[in-house]
Amino acid sequence: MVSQLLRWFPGWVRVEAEGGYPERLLNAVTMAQIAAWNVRRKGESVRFSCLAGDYRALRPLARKACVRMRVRHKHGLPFWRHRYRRRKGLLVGLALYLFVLAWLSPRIWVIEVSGNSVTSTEEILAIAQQHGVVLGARMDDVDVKGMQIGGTKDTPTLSFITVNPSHCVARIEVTEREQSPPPLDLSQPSDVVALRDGRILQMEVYGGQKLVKVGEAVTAGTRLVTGRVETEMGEQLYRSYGEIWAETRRQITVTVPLTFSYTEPTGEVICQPTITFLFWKIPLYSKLPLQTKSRQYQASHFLTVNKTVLPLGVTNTYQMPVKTVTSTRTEEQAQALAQQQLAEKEAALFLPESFAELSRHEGVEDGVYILRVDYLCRENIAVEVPLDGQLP
Amino acid sequence: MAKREWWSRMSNFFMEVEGDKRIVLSGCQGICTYTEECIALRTPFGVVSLYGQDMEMGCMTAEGATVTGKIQRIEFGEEA
Repeated sequence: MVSQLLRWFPGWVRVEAEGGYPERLLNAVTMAQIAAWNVRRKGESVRFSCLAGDYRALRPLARKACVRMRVRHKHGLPFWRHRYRRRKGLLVGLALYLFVLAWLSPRIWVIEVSGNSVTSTEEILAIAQQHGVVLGARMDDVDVKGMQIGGTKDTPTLSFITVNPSHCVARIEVTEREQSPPPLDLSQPSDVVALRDGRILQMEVYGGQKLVKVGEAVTAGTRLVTGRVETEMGEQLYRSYGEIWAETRRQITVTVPLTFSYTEPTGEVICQPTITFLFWKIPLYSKLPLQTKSRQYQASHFLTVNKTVLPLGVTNTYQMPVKTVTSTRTEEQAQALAQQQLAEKEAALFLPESFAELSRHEGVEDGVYILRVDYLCRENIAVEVPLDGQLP
Repeated sequence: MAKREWWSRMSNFFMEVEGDKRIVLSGCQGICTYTEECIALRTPFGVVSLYGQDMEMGCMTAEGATVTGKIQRIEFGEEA
């Protein structure tokens, strides 16, 4: 293979020698230090290959051996160049191809991040950027050692970060630190107060001294546990913490207007394509702002090779102008919507199976459907505040 | 002096046979006969004749030659 390539550059010819004494010619060829290969006898003729530059030197040798010579085939760069001498564009294209190949091959085309679950990919890419891992940057310029040593300095969630260059792909691999729960700070004394009105059902106090008992009714702001503890050595200050479960009453109100306005697409769609290549983004549209309000969504179409997304593709941004439409809904529709919103609020406010509905009031007032529900709840009303402090 | 030259030539001659497909000769001094069935090469020992089918000289230089094909017989003899 290598020898074929070495012969291709200077060019080689397949020569046929007929008549006379071919052995003499071959002996003369070897004596003249001319390399010949694939020598083959074919009936009365002998065929062999030699470098194109040596063919001229063969003529006197052939004459001496009484052999007629002719070239059967021509191969190699000089003949190829001669064939395409009028097609300058081909040469320019080849030169351009070689230039682009030489220019783009040592650069980063793809950056892949793996091993992160807590730390965002954007954060890791920002760290990598400081150490030269940028699309289009030279792979040789990446400071791998510096990234390994200093990459985790400003990011406490990472314990290790490195980049593995693989051809045009920079693979960033990270290992995240396993977060342990912060130790309880017992140095600051505090009290526990009631967050809302209620009747105490259960108390689990881990620090401080209880001021109320199970079954007592408390109002919001009532001090439930104090950090001032009387001991034989006098008053000691502790941090108060714990859980005080109480029976409370809560109310949720949901309002749904019967007349409402919303926006809907006009049906017109404006496509704004942008060509992306490495870090270059070439918009194929005018950047004039749209006159009307619009919704937009993007669809990207990038080249992929073996599931690796290459930085070459088109991103289409679709702008859909919208118009404001006023509409009305029936009381049944409003009721269904209110019920849905109520369920969402219940899920956000209460623990599962910790509440019961006491009463429900619903109706239309001034064009608004109102749903008001009272609940009996069981919830933790303990809130830690600074010593002798009040509810915020 | 002549003896030394003879020894030098002898020590340069080398023949390597790879099965019946290929023979590499170095230090040969020329071609005596070249037909489709026989290639005879002049060596310091005398003439080495290689008989077979589809005989081809893969490479031929002043230092040696490579003969390929279906080699059936190798003969060593004096130059005629």
